[in-house]
Amino acid sequence: MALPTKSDFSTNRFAFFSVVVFNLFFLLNISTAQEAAPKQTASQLPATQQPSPATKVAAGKPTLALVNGYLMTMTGSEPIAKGRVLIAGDKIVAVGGEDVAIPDGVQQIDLNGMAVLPGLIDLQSRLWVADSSTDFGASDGSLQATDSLDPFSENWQEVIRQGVTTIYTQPSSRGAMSGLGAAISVAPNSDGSLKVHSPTAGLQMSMGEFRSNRERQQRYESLKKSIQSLVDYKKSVDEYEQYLKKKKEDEEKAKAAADKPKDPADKASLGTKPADSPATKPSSEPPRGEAGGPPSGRPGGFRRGPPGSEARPPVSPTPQTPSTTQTPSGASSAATPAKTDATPAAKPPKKPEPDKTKDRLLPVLSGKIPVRLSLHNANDFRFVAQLIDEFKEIQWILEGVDDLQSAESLVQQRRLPIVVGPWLNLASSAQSNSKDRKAWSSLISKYEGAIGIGTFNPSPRGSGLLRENAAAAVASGMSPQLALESMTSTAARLLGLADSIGSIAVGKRADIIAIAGDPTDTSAPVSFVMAGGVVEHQVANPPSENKRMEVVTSDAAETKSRGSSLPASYQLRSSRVLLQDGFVPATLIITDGKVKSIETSPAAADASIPIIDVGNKVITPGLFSAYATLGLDALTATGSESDSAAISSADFALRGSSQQRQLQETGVFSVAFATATSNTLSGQISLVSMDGMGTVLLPAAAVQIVVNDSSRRPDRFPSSLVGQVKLVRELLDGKVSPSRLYIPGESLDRLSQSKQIIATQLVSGKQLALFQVSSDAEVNAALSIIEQFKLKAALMGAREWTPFADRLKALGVAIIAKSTADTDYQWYCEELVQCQFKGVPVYFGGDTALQLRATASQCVRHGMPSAAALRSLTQAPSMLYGAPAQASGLIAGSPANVVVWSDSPLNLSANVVSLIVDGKTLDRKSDRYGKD
Amino acid sequence: MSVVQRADRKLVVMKVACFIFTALISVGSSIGDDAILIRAKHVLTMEGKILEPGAVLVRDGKIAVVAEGIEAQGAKVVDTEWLMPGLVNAATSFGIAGGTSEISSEVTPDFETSAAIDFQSRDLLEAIDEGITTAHVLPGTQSVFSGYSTIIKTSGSGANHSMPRILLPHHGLTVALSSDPTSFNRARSRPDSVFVRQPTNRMGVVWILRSSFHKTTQNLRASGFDENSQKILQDVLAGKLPVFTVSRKDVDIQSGFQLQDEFGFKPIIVGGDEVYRVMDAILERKPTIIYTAMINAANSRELRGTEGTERRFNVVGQLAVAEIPFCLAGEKLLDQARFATRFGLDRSVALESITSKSAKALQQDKSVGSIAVGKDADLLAFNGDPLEFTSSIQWTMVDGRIIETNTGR
Repeated sequence: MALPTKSDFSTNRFAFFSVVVFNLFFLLNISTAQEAAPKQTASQLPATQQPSPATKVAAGKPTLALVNGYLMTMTGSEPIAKGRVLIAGDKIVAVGGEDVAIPDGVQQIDLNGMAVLPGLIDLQSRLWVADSSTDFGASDGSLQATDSLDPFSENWQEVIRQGVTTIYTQPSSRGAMSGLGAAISVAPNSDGSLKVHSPTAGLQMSMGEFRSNRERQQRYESLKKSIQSLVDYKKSVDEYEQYLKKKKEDEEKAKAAADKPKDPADKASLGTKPADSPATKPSSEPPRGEAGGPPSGRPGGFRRGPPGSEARPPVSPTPQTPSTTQTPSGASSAATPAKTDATPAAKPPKKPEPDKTKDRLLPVLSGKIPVRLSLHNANDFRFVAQLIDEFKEIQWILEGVDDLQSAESLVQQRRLPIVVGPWLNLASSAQSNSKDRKAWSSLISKYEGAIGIGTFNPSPRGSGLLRENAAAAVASGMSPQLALESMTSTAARLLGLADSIGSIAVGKRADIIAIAGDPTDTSAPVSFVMAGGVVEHQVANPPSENKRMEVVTSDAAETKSRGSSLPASYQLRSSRVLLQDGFVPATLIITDGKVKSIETSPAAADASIPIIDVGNKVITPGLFSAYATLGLDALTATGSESDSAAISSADFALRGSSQQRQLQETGVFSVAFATATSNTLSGQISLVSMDGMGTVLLPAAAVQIVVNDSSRRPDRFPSSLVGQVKLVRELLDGKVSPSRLYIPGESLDRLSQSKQIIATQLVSGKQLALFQVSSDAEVNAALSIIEQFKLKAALMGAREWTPFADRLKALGVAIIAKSTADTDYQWYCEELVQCQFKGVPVYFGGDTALQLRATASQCVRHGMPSAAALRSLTQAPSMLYGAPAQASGLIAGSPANVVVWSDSPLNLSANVVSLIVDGKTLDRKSDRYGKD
Repeated sequence: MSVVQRADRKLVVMKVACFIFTALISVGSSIGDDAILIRAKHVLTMEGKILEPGAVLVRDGKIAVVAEGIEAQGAKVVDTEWLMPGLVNAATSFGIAGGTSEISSEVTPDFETSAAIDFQSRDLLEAIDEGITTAHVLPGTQSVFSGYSTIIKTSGSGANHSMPRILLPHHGLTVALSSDPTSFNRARSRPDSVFVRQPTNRMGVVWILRSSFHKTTQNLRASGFDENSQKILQDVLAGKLPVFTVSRKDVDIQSGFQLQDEFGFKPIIVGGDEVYRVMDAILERKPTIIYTAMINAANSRELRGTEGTERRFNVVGQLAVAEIPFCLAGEKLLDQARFATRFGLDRSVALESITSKSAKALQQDKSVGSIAVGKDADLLAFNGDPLEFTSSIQWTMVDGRIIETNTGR
C-alpha cells in the first residue's frame, strides 16, 4: 500500500537538517501559538492547523477509511464490530458501523477485525527530553518542559510502534515546584519539528521524600508561599487592570459627553495600549488563557466515564472573590457594569512589576492548568490536604500515592484524579515493587475519581512499555476497561485535551491504533498505528493467531479449587491446558499427588472421581527459568584466579528463602540456578526446584563460561578476550595448566582432578557449556571453541544474533534470552524471533516470573508462535539441560505440579489463580497481585 | 632541494618510460562474465609507471592485464579518472575487541590478535572508505611481548563478502620497546595480588626482553614463560618470524639495536618519531621503519603511546633521501601521504610509502601494494589527483569486488 507513511520523511530527514535547525524555534513557536489560540469548533480546526494549501482543500473531504475494525472508541458507547472510521487530513470525520458510506476513490485500510482504539497516552514519560535535562528541578515554577526537548531523538519510533501516540513530560520531581509539563505527540510533524499538543498540560509539584514532618512542614510552607505569591500577583494585576479599565471608561464617557455624534471606535483605543501592559498578556500568552471565560471550560469533570456522560457539575461551586475570578478580557467591555458607578479610588493602584513566569502560571489558579502533585504516604497527605483546602480553585492531580495506608479513605473521599505508576518494574530482581502495587490495588479497587496510568520510566524509550504497565495494573485488580480508559479518554482529560485526543470521535485528531488481539493482552501486537492521519506503523501480515478481537467470556466457571482442600483423587478440567502443542481442552486425572493420566477427549470422564472444572482458565506446568542468578552475583567474590569451575550453585542454600517462595507463588517452579559471572570459568549451573525445600533436580547441569568483559580484571589473568579463550581452551584440551597461584600440592591435585572431570563432561557432551557473550567478537570466539571441541552449548547475552544464525543452527547451539529491560530496543526481540524461525532454539532467562513472562510476551508480539514461547517458558529448558522431562512437563506419571492462570502466562495481565503442588493446593502467604 | 630535483627527474624518466610502453592489448572472447575492465585517465601503478590513459583487466580477483588500452569483450567496463593500488596500512590496532593486550602479564607472545578482531567494528568498516585494503593489525603495547600481529584484508568474508578476512593470523611478533608496558602496569595498585606484574620502568622493559631471549637461547623454563612462548621466541631468533618493535624515542630505538647486536634478530621499527636523532645508526643498519608519527589522530590509541616525543615533519623525506626502507602507517593514511608531500617528500615516493613500500615492509609485495599482473585486484578510484586534499575515493576494490565508498556516493 502506498500510504503516506512518516518513513518517507525520516529517510530524508538529514536533508532537512539545516532547515530544521534554523527554523526549529520558529516552528515550535508556531505550534505553541496554535495551541494558545482560543479553541475553535472542531470543524474549523483543520483549516487553521493545516499549513499547506493542498490539505486545506482536502479538509472535510475524507482521504482515508479504516474499515472492518472492532472499534473501541472510548466514548462510552458499545464497541462496534466491523466499524469504519473516515479520516480527512489529520481529523476523524466519521465513525460508525458498516452503514457509514465510503466515498468513491477513498483509500481503504482493512483492519481485519483487530481491536481499534484511540492512540495511547503515557501520563509520565521522558520521551523527547534531552538527556541533559532530565534532572533539572526548581521551586519557582520557572521551568518549561518544552525548553528541554531534543527534536532529533529517534526514540519515538520505538515508542510509536507500541501504540503510544501522546506523552506527557514535565520537569524533574526533585523541585518543589519545577514548572510546566507538556503534552507532546510521539510522532513529530512531517517537517521534523515536534508536535506539541499543549505546552501547559500540567504544573509539577512535589511533596518530596522526607522522613520527618518538620521537613514536610517546610515543603508545605514553601509550596503554599509559591502559590500565594501567584494569588497576590494576580490580585495586583487585576486591580491595576480594573483601574485602567475604569479610567478608560471614564475618559470615554467624558469624551462621549463632549461630542456625542462621533464614534470613538473601541478597537482603536484598545490598540493604543502599551505593548508591555499586563492587560494584553493573558489573551496572548497563557495558552488556554484567561480569555476562555467561565470555569465551564475546565478540562473535564474528572470523573470516570466518557466526557459526554458528565452529569455532575464541576467541582468548584465554592464562592470566589470577584478579584480573582473576573477575567480581564479586552473584548468584553460590559464585564464590569456594576463597578462603573463606584466612586473612583482616591489613590491609583501601583502598576505591578511584570513577571513572565507568574504570567505563565496564572491559569493554574483557575484550574485551567492542572497541578501534578506527587506524594507518597499518609504524612505527606496531611499537608497536601491543607493545600487543597486552601486553594480550592486549583485542579489537583495526585501522583505516586504509593504508601497511603491509613490515609487511603481520606484520599478516596476527595475523589481527586490520581496518576499512578510504574506498575511494571522489570529491573527488580526481588519483585520489590509489590508494596506499591499492593497499595495501589487497594486504592483503585474502590476509587471513584479519575485514574490515569503513566510509565514513569526514566528511559526515553520506556513509554513503549505503557501497555505492559496497564497489564500489570489489570493483574493488580484494575478492570481491563478502566485500564484502557486510563491510557486513553481519562488520560486525555487529565491533560486537558479531551476535545482533541483520547477517543475515536468525529472532530478528534486521527490518532488511531489497532491491536491484533485483546488490547490488554501484552502478547497481542500493535499492528497498525496512525498519528495525526499519518500511518506510522503497519505490520503487513499480522501474526495469524490471535488476530481477531474476540469478546472474551472469562470466568465461565468459578475455580472451585480456591481455598478448599482437594480430595486425594480428582479430575482437573479446563478448556485451555498447555500440552505439547499449545492450549487444548483437557482433563488431568490426579491421584495421590501424581498426574495419572491426561484425557483430551471429553467423553472419557470417569464419574466416580470428582471433577473440578476451571472453565477457560489456563492450566500450565510451572514456569522454568533457563537462567537465574537469584542474587548469587552479590555473594560470589572475585577470585585471584579467574577459575571457579569447581563451584556448583547447588551448594548455595536456597531452602525457604523468601525469594524462592515468591518465585513459586508467581508460578516459577524450577530455575537453572547460575553462578556469578565474575570468573571466566564461572562454575556449575544446577537445576533447582522452587518447592520450598530447594530440591536440586540436577546438580551439574551446565558449566558457565564467561567470555565477555564481566570476568576481565586488569590485575589477574585473563584480562582480555584472547586470554579468556586461552584459559577455556586449556581446560578443554585436558592439559590443565598448574594454577597460577601458590597452592599446596595435595590441594592442587584435587583441584586438577575436579577440573579434569569437568573437562571430560563438557567434551563428551554430557554437560552443557553455557557461554556468556556480548560483542560479535565474543560470539565468534565462543562458536570457534564450541566447534573445535564439539560442545553441547548455549549462548547468552549478545544482542545481535542473526549474523550467526546459520552457524548456531549448524552447531546445534541454543540461545538463552536475557530478561528484557526498559532501555531495550525492539530489534533485540526481533533478532531472537528471527533466529527461532531459522531453527535456533530460544529459551528465556530471568530472576522473576515477570521478567520471564515479559520477555516471552514481547517475543510473541514480534511474531514468535505462542506455542513455542510457552514451551520455552515451561518444559523446554529441562530438555536443554538434559533433566528428566517430568521435572516440569505435564505428562502422565509426573508429579501433579500445575499453575492455574486467569489467562495465558504470555499475557502480563494474567494472574496466578491457584497453584497445585503434588496434587494439593498451595497456600499462598504473600498476596502479591492484590486481586488474588 | 637536491632531493626534489632528483625526484622530478625520476618522474620525467618514468613518463618517458610510459611512452615507450605503448601497447594496445586485445583479450580474446573467452573472457569470463565476472571480468572487470577498468579504464582510467591516470593509472598510478606504483611499479615506476604512470599510464595516461591506462586500463586494468581484473579476473578472478587478480589483475590479469595492465596496459594503456585493453579491449576485452564480455567484461564489465568501469571508467574512472585516477586509479591506484589499494592502500596498505602497515601498523594499526583497529578492530581488536575485548582488550588489545593481555595486560595481566608482561610476556604474552602467544596473544592471538586474530582471535579478538571484531569483524563488524566501525574502524574496519571505515577502512574501506579510507581506501585501505590490506592492514597489519598489531596487538596493544601494554605488554612487553604483546603477541602475534595479523594481516587482514578489509573485505572478503561473511555474507556478501562484506566483512574483513584474515590473511595471515601469525604474521609477526609485536614487542613494546618503549615505556608503554610500565604505564599500564596496574598490578602495583593492588598489593594483595600475587601477580606482581613487571616492568615498572623502561629499564625493566629492556631487561625483560633480554632475559626472555636469554632464557630462550639457554632453553631455560621459568614461571610465566611456557613452552609455547619459548617456541615463538625461538622462531624469532631463527629469523622465521619478523619482530615489530614499537619504539618512538631515540633511546628506545638505540636499545633495539643493542638487542639486535646481542641476539641477532633484525627488528622492524614501528613508530620512529625520533629516528632523526640516531641517523648515523640508521644509515649503518638500514632497518625497516614503519613511521607512525605523521599524524596524531584522536583514535590512534596505543600505537602513539603516552610518552612525549619530539616529532619533525620532514623525517620521512630524510629517510627517502637516505634510501632507508620505510613506509607510513597509522590513522588517516592517505592524509599522511598528502602531508608528507607538503614537507618535502617526492610525490611518487609519498604514494609508494602507503602502498608498495608498506607491502614490502610486510613482505607482502608479491601480492599487494602495486598494480601489476598477477597481484590481488585491490584498487582505488579517485575523482582527482590522490594527493590533492580535494580528491575523494569513488570506490574501493578488494580482491576484484568493487565497494562503493561513502565519499564516492
